Amino acid sequence: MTRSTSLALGGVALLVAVIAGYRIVPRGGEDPPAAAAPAAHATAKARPVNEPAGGSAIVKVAVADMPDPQLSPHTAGSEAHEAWVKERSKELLELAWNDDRESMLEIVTELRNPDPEIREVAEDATREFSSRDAIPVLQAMVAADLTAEQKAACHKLIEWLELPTLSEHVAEQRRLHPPPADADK
Amino acid sequence: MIIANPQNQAMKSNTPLLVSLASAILSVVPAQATVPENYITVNAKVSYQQGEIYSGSNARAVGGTVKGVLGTLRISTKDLLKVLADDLAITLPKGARFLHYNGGTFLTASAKGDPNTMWIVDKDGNTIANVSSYFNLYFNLYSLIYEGKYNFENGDENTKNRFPFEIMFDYYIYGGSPALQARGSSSSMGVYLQGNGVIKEDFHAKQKDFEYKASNTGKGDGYVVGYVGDNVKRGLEGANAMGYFSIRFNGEQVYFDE
Repeated sequence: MTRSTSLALGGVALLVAVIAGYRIVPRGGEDPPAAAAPAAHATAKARPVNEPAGGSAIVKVAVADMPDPQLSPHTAGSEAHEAWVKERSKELLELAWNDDRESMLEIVTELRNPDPEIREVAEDATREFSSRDAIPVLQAMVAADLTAEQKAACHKLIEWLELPTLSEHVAEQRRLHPPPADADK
Repeated sequence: MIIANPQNQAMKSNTPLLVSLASAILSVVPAQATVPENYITVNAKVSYQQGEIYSGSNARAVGGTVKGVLGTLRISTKDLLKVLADDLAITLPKGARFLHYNGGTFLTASAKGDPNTMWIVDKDGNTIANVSSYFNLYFNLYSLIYEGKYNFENGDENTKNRFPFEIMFDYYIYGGSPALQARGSSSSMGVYLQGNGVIKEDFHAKQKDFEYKASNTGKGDGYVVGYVGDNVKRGLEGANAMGYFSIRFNGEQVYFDE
């Protein structure tokens, strides 16, 4: 893909996003940190954005355009593999402290990882990332060719992310029930 | 987390004989040391009785119906940090997180003071606030079971441990803890949850010359019960609540023993 083609695709995606009322954080043109992803994941990709029928604007992400899960180069069950899983798990959980889209995608894509330990960590990291921006990505993954177990994990995460957060709950309760005059706080 | 304090050696007192024996034989590293300070993440899903809708004002008398309505909320580490920061009127730096000091079974207190305390720290571990009264854990290391090896000669340890733990979360918007207020006061609102679970921990330690390094990672799951007090106006002080939660933690310890 030439630079001009990339720019053109990026422009189209941005225009659609503006129409849909969403701000897209483009991945294109930025390589993820070398320590966080291998070179194979560093390819800049235009992100297709669709506005679904029904009026509600949802940013859809094609699974094919997501970064690939990182696979262990070691034999399953070996000490080297265990060390790799530990290190990768640490990376994913650390990424969960961020708030950017790239970090979210790198976490969520690991729900497709063939290694069940990595998938389990990715589930927790998705919860820790705690952003509803992950919901359209998870929905796209559910529609893709995943195993039943992987789809179930995505469904669980969608359900969890759709719940009101504690801070939203507190804000709502403050609105509905303002403190009485004799409240001590 | 680096703790240059040889007095901070850990002993899991579920094995007093083993520990005593190890201490007698080898005064440097006791059997089954653990890491006293861990970064903690938590997430939970909690349902509560949000309300009851009667078919009419006289429903009970005329054989009407009542419909129970549940509310559900989620708690994540980031969200919990946000709520507590708001309550404490502090601004947290990016990467702020929870640090738990699990000194319950340690021989001496660390710089964090009392054991079983929860702190908000920055990403480098510098203390921002003690939030133990809001959110805390208790690692019951007395009941630990383990598999793996500890080497008496060189202090190396690679073990997989399991132990029970308790969790507590107490946040009130006003009027004091709903759990306490439910026993008398008529004006409170908030969330009070407590629960139990089991932790699985991977622990590694290595001693070389005078340097002792230990690290751990772990995960725990369990349930909570308590109150979510949003029914104050209807006189249901602290509606019953229950749910599930999980935590993850990791820590490191390095000290020099001369």
